[in-house]
Amino acid sequence: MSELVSLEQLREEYRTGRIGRLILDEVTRVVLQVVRSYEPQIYGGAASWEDAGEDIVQAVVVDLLLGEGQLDYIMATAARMEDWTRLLRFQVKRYLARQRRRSVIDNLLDRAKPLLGEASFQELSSPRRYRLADANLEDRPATDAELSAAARSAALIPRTPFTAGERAPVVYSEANLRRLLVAVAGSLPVPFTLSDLGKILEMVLTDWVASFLYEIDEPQEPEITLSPDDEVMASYAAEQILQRCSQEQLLVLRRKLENVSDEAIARELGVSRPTVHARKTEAWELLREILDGLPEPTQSAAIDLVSIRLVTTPTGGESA
Amino acid sequence: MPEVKGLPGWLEAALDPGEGTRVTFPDADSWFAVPQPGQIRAARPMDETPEVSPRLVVVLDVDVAGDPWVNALLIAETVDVATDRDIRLDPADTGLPFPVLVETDIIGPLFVVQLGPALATLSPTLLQGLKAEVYGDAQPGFDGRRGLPPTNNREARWQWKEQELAVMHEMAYPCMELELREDAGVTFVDPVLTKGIGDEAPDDMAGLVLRLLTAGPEGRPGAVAMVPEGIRSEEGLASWITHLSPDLARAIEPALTGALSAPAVKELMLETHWDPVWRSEGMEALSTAIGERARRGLRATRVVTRRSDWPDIQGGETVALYIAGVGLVQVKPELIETEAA
Repeated sequence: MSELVSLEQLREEYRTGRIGRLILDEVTRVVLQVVRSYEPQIYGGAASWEDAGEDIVQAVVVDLLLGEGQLDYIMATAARMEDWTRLLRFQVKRYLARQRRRSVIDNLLDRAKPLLGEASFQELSSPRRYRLADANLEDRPATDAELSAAARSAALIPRTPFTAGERAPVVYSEANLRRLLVAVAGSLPVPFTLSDLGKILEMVLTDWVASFLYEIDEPQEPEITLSPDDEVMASYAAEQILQRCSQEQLLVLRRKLENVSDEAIARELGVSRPTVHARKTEAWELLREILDGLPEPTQSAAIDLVSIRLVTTPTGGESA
Repeated sequence: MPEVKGLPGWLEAALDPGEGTRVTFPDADSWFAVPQPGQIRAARPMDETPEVSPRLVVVLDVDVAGDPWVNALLIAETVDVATDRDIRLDPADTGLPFPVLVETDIIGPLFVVQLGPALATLSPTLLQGLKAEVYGDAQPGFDGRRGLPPTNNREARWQWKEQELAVMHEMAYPCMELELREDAGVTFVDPVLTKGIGDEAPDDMAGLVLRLLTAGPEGRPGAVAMVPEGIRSEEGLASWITHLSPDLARAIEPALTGALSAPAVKELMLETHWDPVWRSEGMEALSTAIGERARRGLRATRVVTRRSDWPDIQGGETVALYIAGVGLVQVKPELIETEAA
């Protein structure tokens, strides 16, 4: 019977009581259709969708459709039954994506805890926060803008793409997870909580959410293994860049790798935009000179090494 | 927990008793009022294109001087995929029951007829901020409302942005094309204005026709056309022209004979539907003439018609004409004072 439901019937139900039997049945039908494509253990926390399906229906209705006003969004936008169904399917996928991202982040936070107990970090209490050892920081919560800036630095740390069906994605190797924690701690002017770290990881994993929702395959880059000679050349080139660029040039380089605008960099440095442009041009010239003639994979590896060094050192240019 | 009205207890607990609709449906208005900058509205494509569904947009600028159109920013379908060019607005900012993500890098022109009713209106401050973002002037006040930039063109969000560009293009191309077409600036004369033209024409008919031919859309004088089917039905037309003064006959003959010599389009048998219904008796002939142009890609037109038939419009409002197999055409009444029929 659900195939015979019309948009006008759904609208009438929405007008009088927001959600009634018709809309609930449609949500149930669409949820059970969508979840069939995903592993119940990973996305439902259960052995089968027979066990977990109803929970998803309830969560989609209460959290998204009512709690976040997404039923209103659908009603404001859908002009045909096909629109309604497509938008509802999208909401179900949003729920699944968020749940999945949350579990991946929880796993990363669990892995981060022992690393934050290492000597390079210091734990503060009431509330529990973390900072680089002996860092002199303001004692207040981080602002949204500061967390966003920290996320830009964290985004430069290499991560392993994962697919929707992977049970326990690594995302970051232990070494890179450690580098990420250093990058976050070095970027923030205040100590950070695990909740702050979770928000940063949410921002960093936004692209995975987009790939899930819009069914865009994340690029599975073929693993390029450099020869020992190429590794040495990449490492040498990276050192050259870091040694020969001035501190100001390195900061501009770091911010451009983080996709920060020239105007924002100018504000941070207290200089004019033309000055930022000049430093940027100087840095690009140096990079071109140092990397010219190297094979492209070696150039990319050198830039990756520079990125990691820039975001994991306090001034971006000295050894971590 | 006992179920009431067949609904599970958890749903009953989640619903506010007595709360009904919180938004207006996208096709609620049958009269396309002039939009205002800062409004959030649903926009639909002009074509019958099932792949492109209606989307919410923010109206940036409005121009009703010619064929009414707006400049609009696309709103994403979710706040979860923000890039650094996307600004999140919360219910506290808009009054809407849901957050929206305004894509300041996805902008396009839309006909007014594509827009549904106004759902919300942004404050002037927010609107100015969004306009500055469109030009790449990142507003510090929006920090914390934007996402991270994509780092390369292989990222999923980069590809999503390309899809969004395609959506906006699908919505906007009829409006964009109209600006480029040489045959775009034609205004039709409602056949009701020339009813009775011919041997039994009233004394002031020639003067009226002359006024109509020189009315012209603003900025495009002279591009006024008679509806062929409206003229052909009048008997004694040729004889009437010969009885006019030489100057008058010289002035109006080209337009009238042009309409008479146009190919007949009745055999097109177009299925059309007005929304709202065109108010004069010339509706059917207009449908055919406008439909013929729409099949050639011209999706907006103006019609000079009697003010007495449209007492409630201020100017700039539009009517939609739906043509099966084509989609929507925007029709703007251009009002002229005549004696009431």
